[in-house]
Amino acid sequence: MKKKQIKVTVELFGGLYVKLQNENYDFETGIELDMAEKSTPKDILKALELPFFKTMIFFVNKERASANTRLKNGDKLICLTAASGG
Amino acid sequence: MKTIKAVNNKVVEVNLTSGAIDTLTVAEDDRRNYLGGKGLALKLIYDRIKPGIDPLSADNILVLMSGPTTGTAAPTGGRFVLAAKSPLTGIFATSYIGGHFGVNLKRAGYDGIIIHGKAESPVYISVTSEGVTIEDASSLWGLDTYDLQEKEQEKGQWAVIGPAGENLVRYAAVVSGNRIAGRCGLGAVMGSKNLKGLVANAKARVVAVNTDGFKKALKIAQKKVKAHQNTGVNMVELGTAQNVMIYGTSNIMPVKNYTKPYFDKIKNISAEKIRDEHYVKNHGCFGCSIKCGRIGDFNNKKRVSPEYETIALMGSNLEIDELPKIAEWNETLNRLGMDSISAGNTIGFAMELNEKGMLKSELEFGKTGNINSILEDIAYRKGLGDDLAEGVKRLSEKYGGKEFAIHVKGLELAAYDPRGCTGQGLGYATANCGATHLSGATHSVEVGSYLQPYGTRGKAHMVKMMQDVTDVANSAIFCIQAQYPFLEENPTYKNTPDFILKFVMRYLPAVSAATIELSDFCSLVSGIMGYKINHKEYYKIGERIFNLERYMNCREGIDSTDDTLPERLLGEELIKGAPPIELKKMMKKYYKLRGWDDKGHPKPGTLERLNIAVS
Repeated sequence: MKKKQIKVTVELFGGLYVKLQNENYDFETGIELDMAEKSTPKDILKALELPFFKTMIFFVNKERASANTRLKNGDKLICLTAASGG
Repeated sequence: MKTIKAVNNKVVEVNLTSGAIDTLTVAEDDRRNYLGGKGLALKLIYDRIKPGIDPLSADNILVLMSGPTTGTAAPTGGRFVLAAKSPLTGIFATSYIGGHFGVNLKRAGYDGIIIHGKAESPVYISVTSEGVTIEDASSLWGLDTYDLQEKEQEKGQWAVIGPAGENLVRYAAVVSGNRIAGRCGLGAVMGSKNLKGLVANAKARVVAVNTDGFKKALKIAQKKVKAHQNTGVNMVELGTAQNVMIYGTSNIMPVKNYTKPYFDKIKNISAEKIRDEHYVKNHGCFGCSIKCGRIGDFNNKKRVSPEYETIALMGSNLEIDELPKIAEWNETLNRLGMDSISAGNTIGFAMELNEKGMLKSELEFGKTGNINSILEDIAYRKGLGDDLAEGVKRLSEKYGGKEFAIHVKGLELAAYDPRGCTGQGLGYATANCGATHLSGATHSVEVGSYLQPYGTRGKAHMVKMMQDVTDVANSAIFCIQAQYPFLEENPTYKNTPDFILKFVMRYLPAVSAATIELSDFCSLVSGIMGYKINHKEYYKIGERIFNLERYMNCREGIDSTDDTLPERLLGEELIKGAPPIELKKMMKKYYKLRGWDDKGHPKPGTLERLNIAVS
């Protein structure tokens, strides 16, 4: 049986923003994706053909989340890469 | 081409009062125990200075010291350090800088310079392979840092002060090229000595003592710097400003003098915005492959693009989202020779004083208004600028507002609000020079969730470990950016599942600290020095340097009552429901790990174990 679809708004910053090759992405608003129900941030990265590595940081609806958090319809996901110095 | 050993052990000692110039050889024990850079600079000061001297008097001693890496091909090996007693904090301070001065100093055959006394009139110090001289700088006094370096570029590579240093602004910086040693007001120490700058000009190849060992280690290190996500991609593409979205989203970037968790207009001041709309080219320090600096086009003016700390303190902290304005202020700060972290905090504090009616001025949050002219007034100590030139602590002592004066031991906070990364709070409270982000920086580990951002678990161990490791890096000298690929680009870290890493760091912090990967540092430094330094020795050097500086500060009156955080950060909730910083609990554990007594003094046994001679 085909999984139910959900809509997730994704914003990417840091190295992910640099690496993204998607002309539909808008820096101000991000990108809205149709994903299978219970998709995770890791699945989102895969859908956008972006790599996953350990030092990534995720927020779902402004709350900290993990790479394996299950997303719901209407969620807003922020993906960042950790950094240092300044 | 002539070659110079990376560890030459020759240091020049200049007395500006008498004009005497002597050369000394670094003692073998000092080199082994303190390495170079920060460690050696502090040891040389410790051997010479009396406690209680006025930082702006002729009695203060300023040391400029290269590290063993300086001038070599080691990643980020272009840096040097300045050390002295700080006029901002009254305790010892070190400030780091790239550019090309340190490399030329090393090429001339000197590892460092010790400066005593005060010249009768403005002078500069010239360093070449032929020797060191004191020259008249009357015609240079009053010039800004960029103009001086441009006008006098044929003389070599400079480290200079601007009008802020001349006028003894307590957070005056030293500038080399367009890189800045900003923190703790060491530019004012130069100004107090009538020392406008130093220039070094020499041609030589700096070589490691063990060239084969160094080359082997270098190959691995360079590969790791390129492979690491931060130094291989993020810093190259976005610079330090990449932190804006990371720390802004994580409620760590300061907003409105540390009263709000999030800046609504954050995207307007982001690195991504700079990249898309202002980027012209990268620039960097000598020999650096990362080149995290960038030149941008801001309203048709080519300027150095502001770094993260400047964007945060002069941007979100003042509720300002106009990048071209922040870039303009950044250039003004660089030209006048002032620390943007302290300046941004001080202006933010003055804005709140104005808002509360405690010090009326035109400074208002969210208004760009007259900030550029205020910066000029600070540098020349005119009107309100004369008060602002004293920094947040002294401003609060004069006009009130101690409860929202954001500083530790007199040094204004770097751009990481510890209410969103509590270990960083312990780091700020115990860092020897005050609230710096370059000692015990745990914010990235906490934001990355290896340690939980809130709570106390594993924090004391992590802060101590980071402080010790960073003190060695600052002595070697590696840029802080180089630490992460060395620590993280290894099979143990990369192949260990996340849940195990998190478990060990949180629940077995002693194991985590003891097993941290230092082999790349050890191999590189061993190759440069010509003798083997193992993991245990490397760590111990860091611990020794940290405790020496602590002991020097204790002689100046520092104790446990100074190891604290601003009242606002301990008492005011930033994020609804977030637990407060449990500083006392972390501190108790930290003192025990450090081997300090309840007053925060290193115990005699601790000093003895680290071979620190008490005087």
